[in-house]
Amino acid sequence: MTPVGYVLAVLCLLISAVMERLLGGLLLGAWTPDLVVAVAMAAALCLRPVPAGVFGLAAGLLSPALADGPASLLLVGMTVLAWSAARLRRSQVELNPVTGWVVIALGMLAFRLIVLVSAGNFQVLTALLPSVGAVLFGAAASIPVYALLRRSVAEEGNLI
Amino acid sequence: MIGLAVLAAAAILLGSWETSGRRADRAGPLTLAAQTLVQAPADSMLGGLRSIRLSLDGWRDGRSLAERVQRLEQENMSLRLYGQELENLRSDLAAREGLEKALGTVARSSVPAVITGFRPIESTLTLNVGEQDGVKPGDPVVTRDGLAGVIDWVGPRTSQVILITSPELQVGAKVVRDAASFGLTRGLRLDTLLLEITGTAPVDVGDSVLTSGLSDRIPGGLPIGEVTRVVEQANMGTRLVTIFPAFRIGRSRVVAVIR
Repeated sequence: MTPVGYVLAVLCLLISAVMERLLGGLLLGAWTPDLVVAVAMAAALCLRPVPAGVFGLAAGLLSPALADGPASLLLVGMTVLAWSAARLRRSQVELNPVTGWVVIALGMLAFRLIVLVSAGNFQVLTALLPSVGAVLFGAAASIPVYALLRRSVAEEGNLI
Repeated sequence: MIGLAVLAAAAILLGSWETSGRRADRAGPLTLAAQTLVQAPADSMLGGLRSIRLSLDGWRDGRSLAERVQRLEQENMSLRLYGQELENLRSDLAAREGLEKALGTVARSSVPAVITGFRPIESTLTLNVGEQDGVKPGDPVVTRDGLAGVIDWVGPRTSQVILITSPELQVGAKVVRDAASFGLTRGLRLDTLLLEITGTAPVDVGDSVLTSGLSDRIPGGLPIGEVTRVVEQANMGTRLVTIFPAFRIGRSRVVAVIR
């Protein structure tokens, strides 16, 4: 990723953190999309594994979910998710935008499950509908971010 | 993999620091740092959104308030009209009661009617009853104050009354005294009648003037008015009495036609 791409990714992460807290303030409750996670996954798909892991860790630190539940588990989970997304990206010769978007959505769903279980909420099925809704919302919001970050890494042919 | 292990270790360390830094009334250091970085702009945006919502609410409420004021004004107008109508009905009721009292001495049937027109120059009234109600020309018309006039013209559903204040109508009258004086009244103006009487019976200002009853159409004892002036006409041997009529247009719109 070019330096401009890194700056863009960090900006997107900060903006998503603000937007997520804003939506949380509008009392969306469980329907609040994990925008920070969405942006972290989108960025991770454009980065090498280690920078992606760092980005994931940073996203975990900015996530509102950090305030409750076991922080170590959330941070490790977010780091591993971002690192895995980058590894997946590296293993593919070509990852089209739709597949990338599916990976982002799956990453968000996995993070939501980690949050639910780590918070002791084992009634995962009860929270499934708002979780799926929040994931779809976040994944939709990640489409322009992912497209923007993909453009910024176009120079690095080995990642495309 | 080494990189991942290092990152995971860093994540565990940071997580432990966060967890250990938590107190009952305070979030962990990492959460506090994130809040410092992110919460302030989020709060500002939230405040902006709330302001927009409040403005929209105010705009919507303003519209609904304007509609409510308009509706209340219409209701107020309706109530005012209703009040006026109620006042008219009360006045009509009082007039009917007065009429019943006035007609108590008259042993003839009557038709209630409402004044629908007034021509001051011709000294005529229009009533909402006519031939179909049994009204005939020459029938006397009374109000609670006394005699108003007689029927001059009759249509199927309307009729015209010539008032006692008209110069064209003469009515047999008597001045109420121990010894009554008789004569014929005729109108001079809307507020004055003239009565020429013969004889020497005393007549004074303030005496009541009633119908004489010396007629087959107009019953006796109906109030006509009150003496306001007595003028001796020595060369003709009569007295000219001016009368202030008891009937006054506008006091009531309810009358009765005596059949």
